[in-house]
Amino acid sequence: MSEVILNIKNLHVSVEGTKIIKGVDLTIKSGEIHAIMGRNGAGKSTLAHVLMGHPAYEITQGEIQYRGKPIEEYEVFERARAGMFLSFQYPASIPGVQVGNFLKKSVNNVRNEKVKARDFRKELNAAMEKLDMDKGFLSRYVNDGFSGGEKKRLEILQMMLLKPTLALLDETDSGLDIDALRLVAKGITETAEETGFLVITHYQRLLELIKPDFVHAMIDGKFVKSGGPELALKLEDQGYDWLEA
Amino acid sequence: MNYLEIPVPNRAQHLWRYTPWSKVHPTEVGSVPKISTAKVILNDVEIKSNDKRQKSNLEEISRVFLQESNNSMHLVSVNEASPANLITISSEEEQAICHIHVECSTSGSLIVKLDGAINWLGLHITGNVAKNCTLSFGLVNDLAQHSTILRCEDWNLLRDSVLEYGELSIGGSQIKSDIRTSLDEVNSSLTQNIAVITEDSRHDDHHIEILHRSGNTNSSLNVSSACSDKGHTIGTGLLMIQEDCDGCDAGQVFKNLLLSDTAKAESIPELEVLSDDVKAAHGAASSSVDSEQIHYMMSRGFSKVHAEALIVEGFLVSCFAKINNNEVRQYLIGALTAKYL
Repeated sequence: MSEVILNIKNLHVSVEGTKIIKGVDLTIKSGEIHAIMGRNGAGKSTLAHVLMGHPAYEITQGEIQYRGKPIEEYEVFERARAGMFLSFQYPASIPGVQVGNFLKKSVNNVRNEKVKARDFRKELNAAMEKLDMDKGFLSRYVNDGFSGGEKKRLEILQMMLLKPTLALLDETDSGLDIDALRLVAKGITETAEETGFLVITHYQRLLELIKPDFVHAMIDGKFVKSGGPELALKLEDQGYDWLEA
Repeated sequence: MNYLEIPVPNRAQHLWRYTPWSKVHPTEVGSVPKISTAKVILNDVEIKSNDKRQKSNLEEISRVFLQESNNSMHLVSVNEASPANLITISSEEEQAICHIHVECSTSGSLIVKLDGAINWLGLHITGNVAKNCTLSFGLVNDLAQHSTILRCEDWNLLRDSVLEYGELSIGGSQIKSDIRTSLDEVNSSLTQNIAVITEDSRHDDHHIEILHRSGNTNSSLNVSSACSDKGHTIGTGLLMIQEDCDGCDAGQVFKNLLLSDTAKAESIPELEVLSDDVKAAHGAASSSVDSEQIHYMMSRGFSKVHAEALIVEGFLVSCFAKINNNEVRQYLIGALTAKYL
């Protein structure tokens, strides 16, 4: 029986006094892929950020449990060490910190195992090859001067190396051409089978490649409709107006 | 003019506004003590001062004072036979002075490290970079926490020469540095990258003058400071482009990271441009560590303290990224990284 990784009950979230999420319920089990679709400003990214513990977001009501424990008990870095991963829509650049060192330190931080330098290199090379990334990437500074596509690939590379239990992907597909999108999808599908995914997207094209188990339509801070992959097709085809009728 | 004939500068003067002369004078401002020569080790071999130094053209108080307190000089030639010259300056005395004169007649590199537990160090570095030569110069100030340092540098660049300059300033408690570079001839170029860490109550005052005396000369100054505790960083820059120096391209940027409520950073870049067809830019920015950077690092399992330390280290490391000479760049980054270990 699959483990329940994430359990959200009646979640309400505010940012600087403005209500953004207004009652979300969601359960994700290991190995499941959930997709959230919605218009800009619907609260999709807010949900991802609040799950990862961004300090700007305040939970005003409801609860989130991660692997059976209230998530408020975890600091951001503890969430990462407990197996949560967020692929940022706009990842911060860290000038002066080389990608290679950053990845090695992140892996040491997050994975509950001592990874030998040689094994890490081997794993890193294999993941970079799958994502068609040049070795020169490793000596560049984290996201500093990266194109949109390069940033997204680095996010997926991190996900592959960190092997999360729960991966939150915040519009990882936006701004990618079709070849880059295929590589990103490949990275997602090659992440551990037991990983639970919450994929935030505007487009059906990513979902064609990664095949979600559940699709949730979000409007004004609430899930107004949930279903299977066919819901994503309908949303792509008809938009969101029919859900408000 | 002798030292005692020069009036003690008051704080109305740009150069002495933030660090009064009395704070960096080793005794009383009205005296000229005779101070012993610092120990200078070049590539593991001690070298002796054997040349009388030339009298400085500048009647600037600290330069005149250093000369009158100790008139000896160490001559260092940069040549291809010695690809990485490492000079260590230290002393077992309470006070010491050192004058290094660098003659760069072929392309090469030179690294100077200030080391030890001296109370007061007076350092004057002068240098000429000859035509068509590139000098990569690095300086690491890693003196003990209690040291006071008075440092002057005067560089002259001739036609088609390049000085790429990197400095890491982390040692001492009271530091006054006055670095002046004159781009004397056409097509000479200066890139100057300085990283400063002020913590506890460290006071680090850099005054940097860049004088474009010829057309089609380039300069780029980048000063990055990380200030924590009650640290105080001062950066005053004076970029001058003389008349009839068209085609010059010059810029200076001061960036400060403020890591505590009690840390202070003052950056005053100044421009004096007397030619029309030039590019000249200057800027200064001060901020705390970006909370989005910290959140991103924490989402990768770094504790807040570790995340902030890495971001600050990266901020300073990136200051040295433009130094092309691998040995100088790696030496500076290595010294910086060691600080954060």
